This record gives sequence, structure tokens and C-alpha cells, in this order.
Amino acid sequence: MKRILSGILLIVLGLALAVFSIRFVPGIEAEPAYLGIPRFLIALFLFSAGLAQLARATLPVERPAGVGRYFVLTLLGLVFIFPVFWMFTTSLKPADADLGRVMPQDIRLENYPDAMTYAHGAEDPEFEGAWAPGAFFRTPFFQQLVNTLTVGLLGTVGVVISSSLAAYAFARLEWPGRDFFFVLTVATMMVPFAVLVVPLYGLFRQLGWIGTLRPLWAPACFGTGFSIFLLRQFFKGIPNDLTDAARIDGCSEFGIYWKVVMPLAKPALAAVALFHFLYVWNDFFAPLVFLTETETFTLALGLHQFQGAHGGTPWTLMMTAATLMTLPILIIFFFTQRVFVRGVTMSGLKS
Amino acid sequence: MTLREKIECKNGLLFAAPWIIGFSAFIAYPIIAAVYYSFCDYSVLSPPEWVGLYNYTELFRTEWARRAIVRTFLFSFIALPLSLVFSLCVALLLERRTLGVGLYRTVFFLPALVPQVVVAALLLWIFAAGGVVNTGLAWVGLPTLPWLSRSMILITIMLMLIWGAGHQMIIYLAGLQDVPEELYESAQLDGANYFQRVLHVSVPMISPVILFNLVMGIIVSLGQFTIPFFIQASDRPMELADGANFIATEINRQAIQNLRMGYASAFSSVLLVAVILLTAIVLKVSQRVVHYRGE
Repeated sequence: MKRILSGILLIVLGLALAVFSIRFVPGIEAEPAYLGIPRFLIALFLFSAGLAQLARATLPVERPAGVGRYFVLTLLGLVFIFPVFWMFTTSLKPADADLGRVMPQDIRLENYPDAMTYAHGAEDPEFEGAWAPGAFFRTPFFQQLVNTLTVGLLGTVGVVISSSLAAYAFARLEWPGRDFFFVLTVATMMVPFAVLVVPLYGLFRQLGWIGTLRPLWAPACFGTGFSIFLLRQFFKGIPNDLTDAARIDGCSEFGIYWKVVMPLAKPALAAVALFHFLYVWNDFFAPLVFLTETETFTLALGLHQFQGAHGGTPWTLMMTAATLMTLPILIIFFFTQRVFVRGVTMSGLKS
Repeated sequence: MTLREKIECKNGLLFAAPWIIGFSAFIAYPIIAAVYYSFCDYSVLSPPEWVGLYNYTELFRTEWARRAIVRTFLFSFIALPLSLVFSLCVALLLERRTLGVGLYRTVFFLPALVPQVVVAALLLWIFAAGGVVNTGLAWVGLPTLPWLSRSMILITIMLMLIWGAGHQMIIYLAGLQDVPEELYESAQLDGANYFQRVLHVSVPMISPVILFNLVMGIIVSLGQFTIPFFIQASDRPMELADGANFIATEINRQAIQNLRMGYASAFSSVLLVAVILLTAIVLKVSQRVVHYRGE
């Protein structure tokens, strides 16, 4: 009990000192470093010591982590979180803010509508300072969001269906060439997009797809090596008794796949869907090559548009757009953390 | 073949049909075509014309191109091991039952969720001459560095790569959780200190996971595009654009901007052969080094 109390006390003290020293982070108040750094390190040490105390008191494990471990972890963690934090604070700053400062001096919320209306290398005058209801739905940002979601959702549905069918064939059916083709399937994960881009460009040009969203979602509808691999590993683990019972009941192969295997594979299917959606959200090379009209741009291309060709990059707006693009991912991750972590480990451990 | 087997064979092909079509059209065909185009003069607008090894000799004669290839490999050879070791260290720090391990894990994984375009944009502004990294260095009393210069840009990209390598850490963590506690205990009884236990127990036990991270890392780092492309597209000196030129950005420049599809395909072929060779070597060597449980 004493330990818990002293632990909590130390953590509170450390946090208080840290908050106090944040006031002196560069650019907020001019203060020599020899005053700020020791204070910050002491704050960190108090915080770590408190955590270690708490851990020793509450966790019934044999090798509890010591103060040093918490110290290093917290320091590293702060370094890791810093760029994202900086991006967010910068998204609130006026355009003439100092690049080297962390906290904003004046907050400019108009960055958000401005970043949404920024397109084709300029702010659209029609939307100047627009907070009007419904204005959001006419912004280039909204269009890019719709495009990204279109590619993401169509591709995700397609990937889940085709990949699960192929994974079923690889995991539970016997057919000539199966094992060889599975090796090929796994090998496709190793082909960088840069290798495929030239012929794909030619192919999509022939099909008249350049400038449309189709090259971005149609290929995914035939399955991808990674998702097939992941699902096959999962399908392999489903006991044969279940499928055999259904077969004896006169269920067709498709019936077994659809009614027995698919419902059991929900966690793996969720992971595959999530990964594909994030892949689309992230993808930059393919949209850059295949999309030619600004109306079809995805969010990633939209962010690239902020890069001014002649020294005119509106960097605070760019950080606002970057924040807008990162936030949904963080929210999705927050709600799907377990699916996500399980998916990542599933891909890495069963190879 | 019994009737049952025949039906199963038919079903197998039927189930795999979409993927067989997709594989042929969007992966097998492009690979074969890329290799073929690399021996041709091809601009998309007119049919390809056979020119033999011209593209390859051109590629190895042009200094800019040669540098892009060498740089891509050099970068992977240095950045990849460093990022693998770093994320292993973080995983080892997190592995012991720590209070709030979930929170720390999220913090270290967070950068891996940040989209590549955002990472690229962050790199350009955080490491700018008067940017927040240099301000911080000056505040602590260290010299400021020209992060976005030709001589340092690879280091800057590498730092961002390590920052975003959270998947590796998560995969390591999962591997470490499967290491039986008895192994550590018996090592401890034998008088092994912490570093010896890590080196002789943890690392061999999770070697399959290390191999997975390594192979995935080879593919990603050799094919990396977004960050160097952003650096090149920014309004920074030409010198920097050359310093951040990788194979993938060169393919994009030649194929899409200059419509020299045949020449770009020569790059694609070099990249493809490199990925295959490196993966094959890694897998071959790993057969001797990697320890699979139950074998």
C-alpha cells in the first residue's frame, strides 16, 4: 500500500515538474538549456521511479522492470511521439510562424478549412474562410476523401472475397499444381511495384483506364499475395471435423466455404480488410502514375500538391492536411487495435 | 482419379480462378513484359522496337543512373540492419512485464501508422535548416546539422525509416512472448548475465521472426519511393534531388515523365533480379542460422 502511494506521488511529482519545464521548451520562453535540461531529466526520473514502484507493488511477476528501463522507454517514447505532436501543433499555427517552435503562439483554426479548400497549388477563392454549412462537401479535400474511400472500399470488398476463395483452394482442396502455385503466390509479395509499373501503365492505357480510379481497385479484386497467404494460414488451422460434418450433411464445397469456414475466419478476414484499406490510404506511387485528373486525386496525391514548385509551399497548411490524413488512421487503429496487432503478428509468426 | 478427386480438382481450380486470372494479368504478365521491354525502345505511344542490350549499356554508362542503383543498395545494406537492431532493442525493453506496456507499445507503433506521404512531409519540415530538430540541437548546445543536404540526406531518410519501423517491433514482441520462461531461468542458473541471455536465448529463439523482418525489409527498402520522391519534388537544389535518387524514383522519372519505358524497364529488371538474388541468398544462409522450434 505504501509502495502504491509513493509510486503515485512520484508520478504526479514528475508530471508536474515536466509540465512546468514544458513551459520552457525552445521557442516558448527564452531560457538557457543548463536550467531546463536537468529539470526535465529529473522530472523524467521521478516519473520512471514512480512507475517502477507501482509496478513492483501491483504486478505479481518475477522480473519487474526497473527504473532505468522506464527511464529509457519514456525518453524514447517522447522522441517517437514528438513528430506527430509537432505536426498537430503546427497545424494550428499562422503561416508566418517560426519553423523551429513547438507550441503555437496564436492559434489559427482557419487552417483547417483553408487546407481543405487548397487545391491545384492555390487556395480556391470561392471558399475563402468558409465555415458555411455544406461548404465542406464542395471542397477538394472532400472529393479526395471520397476518391480514397471509393478505392479503399471497392478494393477491400474484392480482396476479401477473391483472396478467401483462393486461400480456401490452397488450404483445403487438392488440385494439380497447387503447391507450386502457392509458392508463386507467396513470391508475389516480394515484387516491388516499381518493377510492374511500366507494363501496367501500358496495360491500363490500352484499357482506357488511365485517369480513372479503376487501376487502383480493380487488380485488388482478383486477390493479393499477402492476403491469400494470411488467410491460408488461418484456414489451415480450422479443424477438419467441422468441414467433414458439413460435407456429410450434403453441403456443397461452396456451401462449406461460405457457411462454415468464412464465419470462423472473421478475425483473419477483418485483419485482411483492415490492412488493405490502410494500404490504399497510404499508397502514393500507383495513384501518382495512374491518376491524371485532379478530380480523381486521392488524399495522398492531395498532400503532395502542397509541395510548391517555386518556393511557395504553405507548410502550416501542409501540416494541417497531414493531420487530417493521419487522424482517421489513428482513430481506426484505436478501435481495431486487437485485430490489427493480431494480424501483424499472424503474418510474421507463421511464416 | 476417383470421382471425388475429380470434383475436388475442379473445385480447387474454380476457387482459385479469380486469383489465377489476377496473378497472370497484373503480376506475371507485367514481369515478363518488363524484362522484354528492357531490350526494346518503347514509349507506349508506338510499339516496342528491339534494341538488344542498348538500355543496359546506357544504364551502366550514365553516372546519374549508376549512382541511383548503388545508392539504393548501399542504403538498404546500412539502414536495414540498423532498423532491425533498433526495433529489436525496443522490443526487448518492452518485453518484460512493464506497467503500461500497452501504452508504450502503442507509442512506438504509432509512427508506423503515419502514412508515407505524411512521413515525407514531416521529414522535409522537421529537418529543415531552421527546423525544430536543429533548434533543439542548438538549445542543448550541440552543433546544428545540414540534414537536407546531399551528404546527409540518406542519414535523414534512415532516421525516418527507423522511426516508422513499428511493425518490426510488434512482430518481435510476439516472438519474444513465445520464448519459454524456463530457458531464461536455466541460463540464469548457468550464470549468464542479461546480455548473454538476450544473445544466446532470445535471439536464437526468435530467429525465424528476425528472418521475416529482414526479408520484408529488403523488399520495402529496395523499392522505396515516396520519401525520396517528395524530397526530389520539393523546391530544393538539383544536387539534393540527385542525392535522394533511388531506383524506384528513377523508374518513375524515366517511364512516366520522359516516356523512356524501355530504359525504365532495364531499371525494373535490375531491381527484380536484385530482390530475387538477395532474398535467395538470405533464405539460403538462414537455413543454417535460423532455429525453428521442434526440428
